[in-house]
Amino acid sequence: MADRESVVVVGGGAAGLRAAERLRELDFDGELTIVSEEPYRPYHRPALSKQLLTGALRSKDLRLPVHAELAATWRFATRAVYLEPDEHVLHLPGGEEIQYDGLVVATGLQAKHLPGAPRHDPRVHVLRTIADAANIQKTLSRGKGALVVIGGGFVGCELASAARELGREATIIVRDDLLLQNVPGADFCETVSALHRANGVDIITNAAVSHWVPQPHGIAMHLNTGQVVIAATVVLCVGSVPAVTWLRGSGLIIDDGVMCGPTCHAIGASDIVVAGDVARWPNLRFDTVPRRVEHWLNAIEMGRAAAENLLLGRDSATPFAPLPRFWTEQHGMRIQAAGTPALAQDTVSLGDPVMVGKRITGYLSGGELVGVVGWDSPRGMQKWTAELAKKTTLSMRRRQAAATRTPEPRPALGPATYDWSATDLNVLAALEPLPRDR
Amino acid sequence: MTRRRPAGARRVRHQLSVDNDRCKRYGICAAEAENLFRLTANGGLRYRRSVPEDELEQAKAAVRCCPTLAIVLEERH
Repeated sequence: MADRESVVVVGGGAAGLRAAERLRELDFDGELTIVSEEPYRPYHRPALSKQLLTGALRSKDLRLPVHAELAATWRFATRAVYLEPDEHVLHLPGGEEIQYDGLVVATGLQAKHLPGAPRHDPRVHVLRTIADAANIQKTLSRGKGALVVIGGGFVGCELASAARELGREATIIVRDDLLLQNVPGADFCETVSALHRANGVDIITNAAVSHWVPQPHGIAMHLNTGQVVIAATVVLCVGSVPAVTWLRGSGLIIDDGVMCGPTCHAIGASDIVVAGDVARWPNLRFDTVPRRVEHWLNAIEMGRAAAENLLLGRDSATPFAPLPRFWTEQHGMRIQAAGTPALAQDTVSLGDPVMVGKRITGYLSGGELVGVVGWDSPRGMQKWTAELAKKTTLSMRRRQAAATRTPEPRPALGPATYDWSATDLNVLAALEPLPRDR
Repeated sequence: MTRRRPAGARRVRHQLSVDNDRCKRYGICAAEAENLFRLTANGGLRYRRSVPEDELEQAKAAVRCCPTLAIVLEERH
């Protein structure tokens, strides 16, 4: 399967671009087509909710650098319509068909709709594309009115932070008790929420919009808490869904993204690999449960790995088992994460004596470190990310060795048990276990 | 733009530069290319301007992964 003559990449974001770049780096000299729904070259999506909105960067600054001669046919503003994996044919609008020997699926996400929200109103937005960001900017620049964000995820938090930087009033309406409730460890949500409140963001918790009243001077939102909030600009940040409608009927498994094996190959096809936000795959570094990872750095690394494995072919491919890394910036605070904190039941403070007053939290599952989060502490994060990579690599090898030796599953360690083995003592010398979250 | 180099001609040199206004010192570059980038104790970033041949792949990785697109890698002939 090494001699592929034509590869089609569906999706023109970071994952698609990096897959295409990697194919050329590996001397793939066949035809390369990139089908992108966007009318523009790949751009730096993370900046949309941060530097682009505040004006620190302009749209022309966001073009992603490429270090290989891509020699690709770009099909801009083109939506993939349908896929026939058995025929190796991708259908495009107007009845166009493209034959492929290899396909990279990197269609990413779409912003989720909030039922009942007046999406026809030009003051109500979502944020996924650079066009969305430009529209938000346009509405914001029409006056000095308030920005209201619905949803307490990372994008919503970054938008509120950018609005405050621009001197605007900002409100976040969130269903839960705190912001970022899907990150485990209560101290994380509390810290972020406190950070936003200290910077003048109004957080309305346990609330949902029950009634929308668009008026000439602003959009009034009646909340189920009895409050009424008026906004000049509204952004719906209620999550996203994988962009897979074009794969309906293809036979691929698409209930939450595209289901893949450990090597990024789509289940049910030998010439299709999947990368980025849309891919759901088992990261063997942690376990065998297929999950999606919505991190920009993962899109880059997975795009490259998918390209490598496509060229190697399904049987020679190697598992993609990265250590996920993530960052966000809110009100000037750099928050970084590595690993998979969502798997944790416990947190510990990883006090770094070098960085007095800086905070790094370790996330433990079954006594093993599975994630770290750092607060304005890049140097400590560098050290702990490397340490986490080493530890998780070791435990992955141990699990694999155990799986090949004994077919019986080993009894799971209780969440409160911490395995203070000799190696751990070296690594975690500075650890002080905290009381468990209740 | 691939230019053919006659045998014995000087090799292409690669140079790094970092835009200080864009850089937020997350240190992703230092993880990708530890011999080229270093976070200093007082929160700054130090980097090597000229990239040795055997560090070129790491330099490219640092450019690709920079959260703020602050790094530029240029060819010098």
